Amino acid sequence: MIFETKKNNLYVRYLVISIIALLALIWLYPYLWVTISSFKDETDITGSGLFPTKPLTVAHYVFIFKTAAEIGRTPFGRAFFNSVLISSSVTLFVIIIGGLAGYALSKHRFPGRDIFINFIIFQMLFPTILFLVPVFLVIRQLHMIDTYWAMILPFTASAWAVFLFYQFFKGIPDDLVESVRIDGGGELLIIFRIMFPLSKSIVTIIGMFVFMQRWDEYLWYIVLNKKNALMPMTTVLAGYMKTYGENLGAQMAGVLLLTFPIIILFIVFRNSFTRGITMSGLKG
Amino acid sequence: MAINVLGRRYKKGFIGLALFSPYLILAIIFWCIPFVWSFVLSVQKWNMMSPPSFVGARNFISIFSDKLFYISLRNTFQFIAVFIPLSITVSIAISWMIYKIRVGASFFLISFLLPYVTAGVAYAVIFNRLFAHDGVVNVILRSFDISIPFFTDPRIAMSSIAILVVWKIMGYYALIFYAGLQAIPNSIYDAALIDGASGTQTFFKITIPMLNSSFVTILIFAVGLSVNIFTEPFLITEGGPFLSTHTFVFWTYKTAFELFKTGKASAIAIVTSVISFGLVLIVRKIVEKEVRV
Repeated sequence: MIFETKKNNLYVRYLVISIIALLALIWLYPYLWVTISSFKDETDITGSGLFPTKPLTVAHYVFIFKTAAEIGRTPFGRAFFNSVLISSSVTLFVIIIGGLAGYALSKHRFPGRDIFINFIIFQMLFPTILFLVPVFLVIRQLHMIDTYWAMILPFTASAWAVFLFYQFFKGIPDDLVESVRIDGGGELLIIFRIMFPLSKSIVTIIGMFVFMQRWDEYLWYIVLNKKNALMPMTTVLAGYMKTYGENLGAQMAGVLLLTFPIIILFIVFRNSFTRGITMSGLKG
Repeated sequence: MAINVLGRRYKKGFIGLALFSPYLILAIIFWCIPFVWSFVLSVQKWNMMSPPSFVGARNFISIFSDKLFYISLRNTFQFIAVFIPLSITVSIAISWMIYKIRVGASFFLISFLLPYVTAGVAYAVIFNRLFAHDGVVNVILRSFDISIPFFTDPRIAMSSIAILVVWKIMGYYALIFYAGLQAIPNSIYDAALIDGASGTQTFFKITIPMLNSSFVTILIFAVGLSVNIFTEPFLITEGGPFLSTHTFVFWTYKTAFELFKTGKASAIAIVTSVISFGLVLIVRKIVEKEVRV
C-alpha cells in the first residue's frame, strides 16, 4: 500500500466508489421496481423490464382501497388505520411505562430494586418463540382475542426499553432531581419535565425501534387476531399474497403503502436509528 | 427527626415501587405467567378445549422421534451455512469500503439500511416476484444461459431465503462493523505502516482482530435470527417444497394453531430456545477474545 503511487490510489478510490454505488443500486432496485410496478398495467408487471410499456394506471390503488371492501376483504384504508393505531399505542405505552420503571430503578431505592434490575436483564435472554403459545393462551383467558388490546398489551412491557431508560437516567445527576424535589416538585413532574426532555435522544431511539417492530410485525398478529376489520397492513397484505396470487398490482400497491411510511420515518429519524444500532454493536 | 427521616425513606421507597408497578404488573401477566406456563404446558397434552392431562416427558420424546425435528434442524443449518458467511463477508466488505472512501458514508449506510426497516411481509411479496421463473434475476441470468428455480427446487429453496435475509439485514451488520472500524485508533495503523506492514497484512492482522466485539455481537444476532426465521418461509414457500424450508418457528406455529397441540408446541419452543442458547454459547466460546488496545 505504501509503495503505491498517488495516481494509482486515485484509480483504486474511483473503483471502490463505483463498486459501492453499484451495490447500493442493487439494494435500492426492489423499491424502485415496486413503486413503478404498482402503477403499471397488470399484464405489464409480469414482464421483467423496469419501465412500463403500457399507460400507467391507479387501478390497483382503487382495488385495495375500494373494490376490496366490496368483495368482503379488509380495505387498505382501514388496515392502515389499524397499523397506525396499534403501533403508536404500543410505542406510547412502552415509553411511558418504561420511562416510569427506568426512573424508579435509577433514582429510587425500594425493596426488591436489585432483584428487578436482574429480572429485566434475565427477561432479555429469551427468544420470542417461547412466548407465542402461552401469551396467546393468556390473551384467550382475558377474553381479548380478536381485539385491539390483544395486539397492543403483550408488547407494552419492554424489558429492553426499561433497561435503556435505566442506563440513561443513571447519568442524569441526582442533585438535579433532588433540587426539584426540595422545590416541592412531584415525581411525575420530575419525569415528564426533567427526565424525558433531558433524554430526547433515548426516547426517540426507543420510540423509533418499537414503532418499526410493531409496524413490521406479522406472526403475532395472525395468532392474536382473526377479525378482518382489525387486521393491520402486514396481515392484510399477506392475505392478498396468498389468495390473490395473480393480482400482482394490488400486492405491489399494498407493499408500497406498508413500506413507505416507515421509510419516511426512518429517513427523518435516521440519526437516532443509526445510533441505536451502533450502541448495540459497540457494547458487545 | 429520626422518625421523620424514616418516614420519608419509607415514603420514597413506596413511590419507587409505585412507579415501577405498571411495568411489573404487565411483565407478570405477559412475561412471567407465560414463561412458567410454557414449561407447564410442555409436560401436558392439551387441545385448548378438554381439560389438560399430564404426560411427563412424552412431548419431548415425540419431538426427538419426529422426522420434522431433523428436517427443521437440517434446514436451519442450511440457512446458517449460507446466511452467516455471506452476510458477514458482504457487510464487512461494504463497511470497509465506506470507511475507506470517506465520501457519502451516511448516504450509503442509509441506503443499505432501508431493507432493515422494511416489513418481512413486504419484501416476501417483492422477492417472490423478483426471484420468480420470469422475474428480473432469472432474466439477467438467462443471458448467461442459466436459470435458477430459487423457491421451487428443494435443494436451494432455503439458501434462496437466506439470500433475501442477507439483503434485508446486511445494512444493519455493516453499520455495526462501520462503528467498530471508526473505533480503531489511527495510531495502530500508523505503527503498522512504520513497521512496513502491507495493506492486506494490516487488514487481516489488525483490522479484523480489532473488530472482535462487533463480530461477537453480529454472530449472536445472526444465530438468533437463523433459529427463529419464520415470515419468509411461511409466506413464500409455505415450508416447502418437500419441507425444505420447514423451520422451528414454523413447526411451533403449525403444531399449536393448526393441530391444536399446545403441549407439544411449547416443548418445541423450549427445544428451539435451547438450540438458540447452545449456538450462542458456542459462538462466544469460539469467537470472543479479549482485545487490548
